[in-house]
Amino acid sequence: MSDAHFPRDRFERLPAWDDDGFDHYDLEQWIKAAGSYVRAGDQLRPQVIDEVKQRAARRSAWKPVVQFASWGLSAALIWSLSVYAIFLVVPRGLTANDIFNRAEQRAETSGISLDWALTEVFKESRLPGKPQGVANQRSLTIQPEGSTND
Amino acid sequence: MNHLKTFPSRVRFCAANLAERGEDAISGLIDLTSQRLVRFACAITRNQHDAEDAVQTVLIRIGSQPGLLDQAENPWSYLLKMARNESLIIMRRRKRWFSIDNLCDLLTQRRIDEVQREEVYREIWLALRRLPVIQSEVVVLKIWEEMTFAEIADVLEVSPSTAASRYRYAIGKLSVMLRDTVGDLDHV
Repeated sequence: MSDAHFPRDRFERLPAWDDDGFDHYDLEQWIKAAGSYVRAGDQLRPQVIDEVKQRAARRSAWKPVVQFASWGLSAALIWSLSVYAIFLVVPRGLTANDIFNRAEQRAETSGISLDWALTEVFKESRLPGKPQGVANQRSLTIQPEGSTND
Repeated sequence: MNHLKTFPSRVRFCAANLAERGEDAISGLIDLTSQRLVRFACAITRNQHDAEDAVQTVLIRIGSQPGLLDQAENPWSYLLKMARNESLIIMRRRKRWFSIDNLCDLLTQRRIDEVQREEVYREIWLALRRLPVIQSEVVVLKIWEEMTFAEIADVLEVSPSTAASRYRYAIGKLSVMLRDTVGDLDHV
């Protein structure tokens, strides 16, 4: 704030005005000069610096704990996703014993040979999503003895 | 260093410094802005203790997140906004009653050659406290922070014409209030 607008003499420095109103420019200059009248308290600066440092210290103290916890959580998440993928998502096929047992059962109940029963069981246990055209073509080539393609 | 002549550019420099060096650089920002923030907050809370609480909260938050201020488009306006929001929160929380007709809470400073002006300064501060907050904050930003109405509008989140209108009303009231003061002094 420049002092040029405020002559040292007390009577001269008062803003000029008349009956019609106040000189707003002078009023603004007075208000501007009054801005430096109030100051911040002496404790503000040390309190802010102290609190900021304390918070920084607390953050750095907790940092390894948070880091360890986040690593642990990530590892647990990856492990559980792997277990889910292995046991629930990936389809498991029939074992050799299952297929043989089914083929035996089918051969007994239907009165067909074990070979043909095995073929049928294999055909039924084919995984979904396999192209049916290929399956149909294959079924044409595997025929029981004496039967026709019609 | 011509680019550091204006106050907002100095705040921007401090903000960049803070982002680069971390919380160790907060003291520079405090020295630069605390008085201005306190007097702005004072215009809202009308009490220096509450104003300092608000400013302290703001500066601690800035110090704890050193990159926050540097990311702002205009760091000085951002700081003023933060101080205003914090002051309004404190005002809403405040239960105690206090008089706006005295300045007992204010921490003042004066140069030896300003002793004669002190009476006028006190009257000006009292007059500012008697204004509605929405008007006194515009006066502070316009006269003490030398902001344009567009910049004031950005800080207060109103339109520039609203800011200008509030300023006009405020100056009108202040001229009425301060006319008697200055008139009395004139006869001394």
